[in-house]
Amino acid sequence: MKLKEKLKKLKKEIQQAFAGVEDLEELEKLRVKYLGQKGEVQEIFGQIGEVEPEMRPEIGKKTNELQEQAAKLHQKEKKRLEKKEKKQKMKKEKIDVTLPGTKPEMGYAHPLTRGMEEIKEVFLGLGFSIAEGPEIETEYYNFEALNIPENHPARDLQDTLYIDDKHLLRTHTSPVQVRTMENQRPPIRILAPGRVYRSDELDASHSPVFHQIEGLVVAEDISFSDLKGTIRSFVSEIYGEERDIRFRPSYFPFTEPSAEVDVSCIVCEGEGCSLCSRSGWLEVMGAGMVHPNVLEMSGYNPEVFSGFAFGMGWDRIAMLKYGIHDIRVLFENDRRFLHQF
Amino acid sequence: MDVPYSWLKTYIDFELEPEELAHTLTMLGLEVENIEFLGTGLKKIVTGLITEVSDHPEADNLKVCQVDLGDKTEQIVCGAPNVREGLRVPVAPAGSILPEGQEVQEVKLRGVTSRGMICSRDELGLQEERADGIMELGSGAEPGGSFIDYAGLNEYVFKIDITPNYARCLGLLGIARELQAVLEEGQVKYPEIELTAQERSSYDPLKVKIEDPELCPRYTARLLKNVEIGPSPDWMQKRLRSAGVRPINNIVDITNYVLLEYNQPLHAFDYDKISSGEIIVRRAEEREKLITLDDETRELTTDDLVIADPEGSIALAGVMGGADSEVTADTTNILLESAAFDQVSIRRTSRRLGLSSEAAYRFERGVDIEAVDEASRRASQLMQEYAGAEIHGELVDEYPLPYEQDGIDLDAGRVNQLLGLDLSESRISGILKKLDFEIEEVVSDVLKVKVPSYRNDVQQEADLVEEVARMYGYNNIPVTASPSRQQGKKTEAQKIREQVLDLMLGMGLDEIINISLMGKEIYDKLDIPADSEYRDWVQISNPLNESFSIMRTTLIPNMVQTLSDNTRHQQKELRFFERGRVFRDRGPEKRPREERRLCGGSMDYGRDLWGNDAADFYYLKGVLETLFSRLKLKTPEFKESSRPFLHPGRAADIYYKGTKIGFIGELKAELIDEFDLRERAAVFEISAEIFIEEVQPHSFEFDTLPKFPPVSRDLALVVPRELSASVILDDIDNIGGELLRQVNLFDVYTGEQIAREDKSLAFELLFQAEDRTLTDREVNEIFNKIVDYLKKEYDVEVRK
Repeated sequence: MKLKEKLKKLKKEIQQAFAGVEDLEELEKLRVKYLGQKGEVQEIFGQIGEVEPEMRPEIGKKTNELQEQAAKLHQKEKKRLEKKEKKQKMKKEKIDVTLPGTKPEMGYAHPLTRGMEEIKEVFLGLGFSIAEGPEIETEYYNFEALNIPENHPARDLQDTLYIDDKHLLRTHTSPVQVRTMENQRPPIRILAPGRVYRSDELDASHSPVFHQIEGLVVAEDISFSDLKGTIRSFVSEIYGEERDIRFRPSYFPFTEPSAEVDVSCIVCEGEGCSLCSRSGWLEVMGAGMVHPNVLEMSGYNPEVFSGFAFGMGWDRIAMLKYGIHDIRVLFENDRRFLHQF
Repeated sequence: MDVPYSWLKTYIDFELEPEELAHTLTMLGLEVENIEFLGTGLKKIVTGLITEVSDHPEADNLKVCQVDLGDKTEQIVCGAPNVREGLRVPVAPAGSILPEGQEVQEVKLRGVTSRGMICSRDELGLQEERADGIMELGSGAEPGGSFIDYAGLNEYVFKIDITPNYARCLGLLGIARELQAVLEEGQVKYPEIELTAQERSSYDPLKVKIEDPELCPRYTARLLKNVEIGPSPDWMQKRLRSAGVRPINNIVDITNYVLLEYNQPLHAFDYDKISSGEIIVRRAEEREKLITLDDETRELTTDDLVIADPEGSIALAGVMGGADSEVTADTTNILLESAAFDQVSIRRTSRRLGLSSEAAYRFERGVDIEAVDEASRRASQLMQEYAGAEIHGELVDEYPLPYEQDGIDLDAGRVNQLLGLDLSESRISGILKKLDFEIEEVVSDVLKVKVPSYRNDVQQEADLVEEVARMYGYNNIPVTASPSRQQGKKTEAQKIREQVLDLMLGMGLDEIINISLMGKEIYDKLDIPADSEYRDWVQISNPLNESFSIMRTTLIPNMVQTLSDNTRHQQKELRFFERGRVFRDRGPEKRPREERRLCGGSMDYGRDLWGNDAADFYYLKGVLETLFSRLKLKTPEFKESSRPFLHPGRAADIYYKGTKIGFIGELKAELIDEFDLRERAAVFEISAEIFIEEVQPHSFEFDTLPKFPPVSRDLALVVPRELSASVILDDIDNIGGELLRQVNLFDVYTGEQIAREDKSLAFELLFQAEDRTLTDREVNEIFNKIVDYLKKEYDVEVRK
């Protein structure tokens, strides 16, 4: 047979062979057979020397074309088969997508921490800085400097745990006010979160240890209106825009005028329910204008400077927010509880 | 304080319903905590008169009664032993519901119709224990009348939380005065008092001598003779009861009644027991003894003020009367005391003796010194009227330190500045006048304000500002935008603490918060020896109970307890951390040391990295290493150590730059049983102050990424079992020099193929240069240097 015809025949054969192939293994066999080092195309190249010299270029060219076509064909079939194989493979790999996911290990922050962070952010936005102080305080910082002299009935408002004659466990975060004023010059805008202690038995609504957040602003020309503005912003952020706020006169030795701040009940919206003891209001914090005696004792002239302070029980806020009815739950650290937040 | 609605109404007219009144009082600063209706569930109960009683035809123990209910007579079957004709009784008619929820219906009792129920006290909820029979009413109970009206139960009682600055409102007249200031209608109606006094004979001496006017600025005494001790009138008893005061007899009841009207404690002495009718107000002598009304013998000091006669003390001034001069059923003549005492002195005495009384409570908050005589007159009048008392002579009134008031300057501009208002001087004057303040003069917007004697809470300008705000209405004061537009700042320490929190949470530990007060018991349970510094507790000098008697010196006990509690609740894979302060005693009178600590605990951790059943230990160690690394701190060192509560072979102290900062370890086997832990558990505790001191928040600079590939070599060594892995790691690191980028220990093996006293350690060493691709030769050179060194230093063998 003439090489030319052989070439023709081979071309046809290759086309047919590649068209019929159905898996990659077979395709590889065909590649070796036709396109391999010792394949049939190579064989033709080897035989080119045997034809007449004038025919060689043409046959050479045609053989090259065949090789290229075959290679292309092979590539094409390979891609097709690979695709097909992948499809089949994926078909076998079907999973039950409703099986549970793999859970990354992430810890849960205690709800008191979570609530605190939220409140801190609100006040940072209002220009407050965070201040801290010791939990074991002196009589002076906890009482005297806050206008609560010894033998004043106001001391009855707080049952105090004592260490010795001079030292006690702070009953409120208010000493931080005094410590800040002693160390800083106005304007002052601080938020003092912290742990406080009272001589209370542990029961559903009391704990000897709980947490407070205290705020203090002192500058020239601070007014009760400013206090109301700050509290309005805070209440909107934490309890929602739609809450009503009510201020009513109250008593704290270190503020004058003093106020108790109520927000409309988060459950009944003011209608009256068991959470708010049917009053429609929830007491959320105490506040007032800093008492001039307190300013004076910290070395500020009350004729020049004025300020406001506010304080709230943060455990109570968390309890209200999450509907917790027993404060002890907060300190039991039951994982089933912690994992809800 | 319990304030009955209708009693209050006798002092001022108002149209407010109870709910509205509660709101008004609350907005005045007199917080009404709740309103109780005394006749709850009894509105349908009527009073009836039993007109006829006959035997029940079918039952020996039942009677058939005809009961007159005013507009009708009902037949009611009753089994009470005291049922009889002519008796006035409370009746629950058919169709009514008793307080306990029982519905009364028309029934046939053994064939006889009964249309209602004659009630006993317990059935009406008026007493807890079962009554012997039906309740018997007095002659005032008209047939068909309302039972709650008859019994004084048609009354709303307000529980008011009276803050110390509202002491004046510990009397109903004080509350009425507050209402007068805000209500359009109504003036306070003070009781009208008329006394008929007769001459006091010289046989009835009455003298008052105040030795210490500072402690007793005013003392009045009055002689009332021939009193008849007996019950007080019905209306007075009802009012007292509704205010929560138990009626005793007319004299005691009258003093209590006036106390509740005027906020002025009174004391009635048996005049005949006072030697020569002479009252001496003096300090007690050191160790002087007095038997008080509660029959306790009190030992006094010179700080205490007593009421005495020439023979000795007869009362603890302002706190409690003496047993010897007490009014008894045999008393005929009375010396009535009405006085003012120093607030602080009363409080000291009452506190020191642990003796609280209604009188002391009021005196330590301050009474109206100018009204001392008025209260005495009021009580005398009532005693005259309801105890047959004869008033002998004028009031003896010693008043050495009369009430004086300099007046307070109130700058209208200051008021407006502090409140954010714009009130005129005349508006401010008007507000204050409504509260009985007098404006003496106004000089260029400064008001000279005279304070009424009952307002001892008003001492300076700020107090007047509060009064203006209160009357203007806190809720009418405008709201201004917060004046600062500047973002607040956290300190570096606060930021670092938050970072620690985030990292711990991110590593999968749950945050716990424990009470920092605790009991000593758990320290024993943890086997902490007597001389341990863990026992340098800060002790509470007045603990409520043993379980909250000390401040914690370590976070570990709470952590172990938390692991234990959660195990009890079948919780698995526990990983906790706590950030908290610990407290250490530093000797008497010194402020205890407070230190922030970070504590961790783990149980049931799933991955036993080194196959030595110490998963929790290495998990927590890894947490610490990661924490330090993420805070860009050096890796802490772990050195074998021991703690009383830790496993002796699985505990280490933690060092940072050579300083011990804490420890880590597995709980010892005994504790696993002691605390009912199911499994091994590990804990750590480190000082959290180290983070604040060491973390450099702004000093970080990034390393350029390597451009040339690393070359990796594994090194497996057989070393003596006792040799710490860290020793080898450190040496490899040192010898490796700059080109050795990283050494990872990835396998520890003991067992077959290795001698018993040995272990195999496998390391991966990564070599890399910044400026070129390292050649095999270069790497081999360093690698061999390392191997040679280790062979020389230790008894190691390189596994191929």
